[in-house]
Order: sequence, then C-alpha cells, then structure tokens
Amino acid sequence: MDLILLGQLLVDGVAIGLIYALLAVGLSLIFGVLEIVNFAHGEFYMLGAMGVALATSSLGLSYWPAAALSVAGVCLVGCAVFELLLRVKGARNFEHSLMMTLGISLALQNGVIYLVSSTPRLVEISFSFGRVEWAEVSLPMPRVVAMALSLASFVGLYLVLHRTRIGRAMRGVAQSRDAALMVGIRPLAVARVAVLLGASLSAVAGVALAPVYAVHPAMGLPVVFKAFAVVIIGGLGSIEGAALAALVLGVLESFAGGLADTVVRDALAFVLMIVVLLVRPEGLFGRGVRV
Amino acid sequence: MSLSMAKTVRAVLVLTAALSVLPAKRAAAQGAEPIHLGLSTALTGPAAYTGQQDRWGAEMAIKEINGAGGVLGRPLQLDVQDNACGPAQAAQSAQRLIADRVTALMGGLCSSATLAIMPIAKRQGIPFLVPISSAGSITDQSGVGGNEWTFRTAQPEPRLAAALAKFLVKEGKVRTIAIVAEDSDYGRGGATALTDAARTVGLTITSADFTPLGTPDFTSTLTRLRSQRPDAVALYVQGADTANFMRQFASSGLKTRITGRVQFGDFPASVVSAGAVDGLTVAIPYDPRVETPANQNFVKLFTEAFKAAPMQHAFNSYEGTRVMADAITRAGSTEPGAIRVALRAARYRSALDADLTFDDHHQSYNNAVIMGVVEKQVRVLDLIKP
Repeated sequence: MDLILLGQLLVDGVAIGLIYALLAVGLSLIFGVLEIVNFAHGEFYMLGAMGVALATSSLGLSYWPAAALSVAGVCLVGCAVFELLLRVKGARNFEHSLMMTLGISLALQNGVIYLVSSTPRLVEISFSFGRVEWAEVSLPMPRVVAMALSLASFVGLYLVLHRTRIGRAMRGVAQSRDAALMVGIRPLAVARVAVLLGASLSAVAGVALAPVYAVHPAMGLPVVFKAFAVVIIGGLGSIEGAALAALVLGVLESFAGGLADTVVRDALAFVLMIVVLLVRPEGLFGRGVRV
Repeated sequence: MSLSMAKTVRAVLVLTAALSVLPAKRAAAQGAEPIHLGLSTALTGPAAYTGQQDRWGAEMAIKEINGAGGVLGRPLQLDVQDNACGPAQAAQSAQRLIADRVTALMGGLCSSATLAIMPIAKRQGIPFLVPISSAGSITDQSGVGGNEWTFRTAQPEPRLAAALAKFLVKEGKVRTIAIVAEDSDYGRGGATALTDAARTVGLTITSADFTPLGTPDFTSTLTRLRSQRPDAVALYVQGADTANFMRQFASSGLKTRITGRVQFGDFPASVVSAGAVDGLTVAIPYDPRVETPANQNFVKLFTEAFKAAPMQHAFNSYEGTRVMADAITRAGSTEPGAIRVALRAARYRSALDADLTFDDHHQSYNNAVIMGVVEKQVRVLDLIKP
C-alpha cells in the first residue's frame, strides 16, 4: 500500500473532520441546553460563508476583517432567531421546535436566494493556491487556515464552558434542567448564550470553508445532515462525543473516498449512524457525559 | 408650395405614417391575449444558478420578440415553474404549467428532469423543446424513438464527446483519461459518451467516479487521482460542483490536464491565471468568446440586461425560445399539432454558424466549441461540426 497516499488521506480526513466537529458541537450544544433539534444549523454555516463572500466582494474587505464581520452578523441573526422564534412558549414542545427550525431553515435559505441570488460565489484570498508540504504529503493553505480556525474555536469553547459562570450554568442546565432551576440558574439566559455559541461555531465553520468551497444558498443542507449523523453517533447532547465522532468520521470518509468510491464515502456517516442506533441508541457518549 | 417643399412634406408624412405603424403593431401585440410559454427549470437547489441563466435566456428572447411585435400579433408570456432538477418536481411543474394552459413547454434543464417531463408532454399532446439537457437517451426516445412531441436543440453528449476525442487524438498529448462525473443522467450520460468515443479512437479510460449532485469536497478523489496519474481528468459536473472541483484541483498540485465538459463561467478566472489548468481542453456547446458577429451581439445585449456573462444555459435557452416562437409563427396558430408540424420543418441560423434543423429523432446539431487554456489564457481552439 502506498504510504504517501495513506498519509495524505489521513491529513485530508483530519482537516475536514475538524470542520464537521465545529458544526456538530454547535448542534449538540443547542440540543443539550434547549432540547431542540436545530434544522436551521446548516443555514448559520451558509450565512457565515456568505457573509465573507459578500464582505470581500461588495465591501472590498480582506479575508480576516470579513470573517470577523460575518461571525458577528450570524450571531445577530442567531439572537434574532432565538428571541423571536425559539423562546416562545410553544417551542418547548419537541415537534413544534422541529417544524419551527425547519421553517427557519427554509426561510433563511430562500431569503438569501431572494436577496443575493443563487449564483455560487468564490472567496478569493491571497493564499488560495498555496500549499504546506511535508514528505510528499501536502495540504492546501485554505485548509490549513480552516484547521487553525477550528482548533482556536475549540480552545475558546473549552474556556467558556469550563472557566466562566455562564459556561458552568450551561453545563448545569444540560445535565439537569430542574436542578439548575433549583439553584437559581436562569434557563432563558443560558439558552440564549447556547444558541449564540452554537450559531457562532457554525458561522466559524462557514467562514473557514468559504475559501475552500463555492458559497451558495443551498450549501448548508448536505452538511447539516452529516452533522446530525455525527451528533447521533456521538450521543445527542454530548460535546466530547460529537467532536470525537466528527474527527473519526472525517478520517474514515477520506479513506473511503480515496480507496473505494465517492458513493461509499457519502453513505458512511449514515451507515455508521444506523449501526450506532441499533447497537447503542444513546450514542457512543450517551447522555451521561454530555456537555 | 415649391416642388422640393412638397417632396419634403410628403416624405415627412410617409415617415410619420411608417413610424406610427410600428408602435401600433407593438401596441396591438401588447394589448392582445398573450401566448403562454411554460418553462420548467431549477429555481432552487444546487442547480438554481444554471436555472437562473436558463430563465434569463428565455426572458431575453421573449423581450426581443415582443419588442418586434410578438407572435401572430400577440405578446409571448413566460410562465416559470421550479423543478429543482428533480424528476418528481419536474413532472409536477409540467403538469401545473399544462393546467395553466401553456401553448408549449420548454426547459427541463437537468436531463433527469427532462426525461420526467417527456412522457407528460407526450400524453397531453404539448410540444416540448429541450434546449439544455444533454443525455443521449433524450434523443433516443424522441421523434421516431416514440415521443413525437419532444424536440431538442441541446447538443447530445455523444456528439460533443466524439468531437472532443477526435481533437485529443489529433493533439496527441492524452492517452489515459480518468472520469469524474456527477451522479445524474447528465454525468452518467457524459461518462458513457466519452467512454464510447474514447474506445472508437483508441484512448483508455482508467476509472470513473460518480459524485452526488452538490458534492462540496473532491479531496479524496483528487488524492486517489494523484496516485493513479492519468494523462487527463474528464469532468462532467455542473454549477457549484465545477467551481469546487476546479479550485480544489488547482490547490491540490495535481499535474494532469482537465478535459470533458467544463463551463468557464462556472469557476473563477484566478484558477486559469494561476496556471493550474494549462493544457485544459474541453468540448462544450457554447462559450461567449466565440467570435461570430451574431454571438458577440447576443453577449453584449445579455450582459447589459442581466449584468452577468451568458453561460451555455442562457444561450441555448435563448435560441431554443426563438426556435419555438418561429415555429408558432409558421404554424399560424397555437394549436399543438400545427406547432409540432412547424417544428419538424424548422430551419434556424444559430449564432454558432450552423443551421439548426431537426432529424427524425427531433434532434438538431449545432457546432461543438473546442475550448482550451494555453499559457494561462482561455482560447476558442476550434468549432467542430459533430
């Protein structure tokens, strides 16, 4: 077996796995705190990427200021979605929240088509065609940047969850909503921050991939389904589970695509999800260790 | 009144009369009951971008036709339904358009969608013109193939592939080809056509990958191709998938040539200017760089109207709409049977310097455009009659 090929597939897999992890962790966080399966999660990712595309092409900003502006913009959209739609009393009902987030997803996607058209946009950056090479294994610079952004976000998320009051409150609500209420934690404030964090992680994923993938309104749909599979494999509500499952899936997909077929690669997430649902329905890291 | 004065007055009167006729004719066309043309295309989903071009092309043709007095003294009106490039939605969109009493159907866009509309057009007895979809099976099933109501101006993939294979052999730089195609009738049709054409001229196909529509990431495929080292990678994907593949190909460092069917408007110019795709050679149905006067005029008007360069979808839709309008004019009525007869006898001079006429499979053949990238520049290499 060609060692260079295997090394290349491993590096490619880790790079994409980290992005899956950003999306899946945000999704898992929102589920853990709000118990909402957020179908609009892919649209936060799309808006993050679209924000960069618009800010670089229309405002003439360079990549990093555009990225910051875009993440801030998606946070505002996340806030608006929470305040106007998700915090309403009916959203506590699981089925209601499913339909609500599906509706939000469609509205955001078609809203973007209406406002900026469905034309794919390409974000050009100075390092678009650069590569980092080591022993014939190479990684394009845009992917190196995406990996760095993902790792930085995870460090930030860890610090928020473990070193801040609101982070501890969030973990508390996720572990036991009733117990959290009894000790005086306000679930609404915690939920607001959870949506904000989830949306911003998703936006960072969009920002990171904007120089890698074509940006268009429908780009959120395929990734959100994959993120769902990852979250179910890792255990609904478990952040560690989601991150680890995403990384493993990224690597497995890379090997499947490189050694077998693209179709096998795309089916892998869902085949694994079905196996996990059959063998361990609570997911690999179940509810016991969530957040 | 002097003689010259009388002449001047007469000339002014004649001119005034002539000028008053034109707006009157146009006004009559505007005031009359419109003739509805139904367009089923992708307004949502991954192919929405190309669907937008499809719609723009038809809109531009209709605006020009209406500006010149319409058809049979009536204005044309475009009714558009979204099919999202899916067969089920395409069938629904066609049924809705027929329920809305359109005179003829156009579009389909994706081959899978077109193949779903064809039996409906046949059952309902409505002329259906296919200007974009390229799967070979559409031609096989049309005209003497059984579906008397479907006509196609789109280049069938086998003809484009044959033109490409002929050109590659003449060039002598490619012997082995790996195919990357979207998993649709378009992609599979392209892969089959190129495989057949390659076999005929002695080229070897080393592998064929089929990727789902809307695939954002081609990394693992590119990594595998890097270890296979084919002389060329033949690409049969569309829209955003092309942009993703080309950019990832450019940054992968893969040293091979691109061939197949790639639209230059689908990916950024920076990929070409970075020198990453030098040697690219593709056969496509259209490119705005083709330098015929008729095409340059179309490109100018289209760009002014929509602030975007036309892609093949817009061009084919524009010419297809004109072919349909011409058939209705020659039919002298909006009766479907009469339009079908008129379509069979159509002769339309394309901006690609070929006369479009329909054969017994209701297929017309335009010139194939061979495009290439030479020293970081995109060039029209040849126009080949397939």
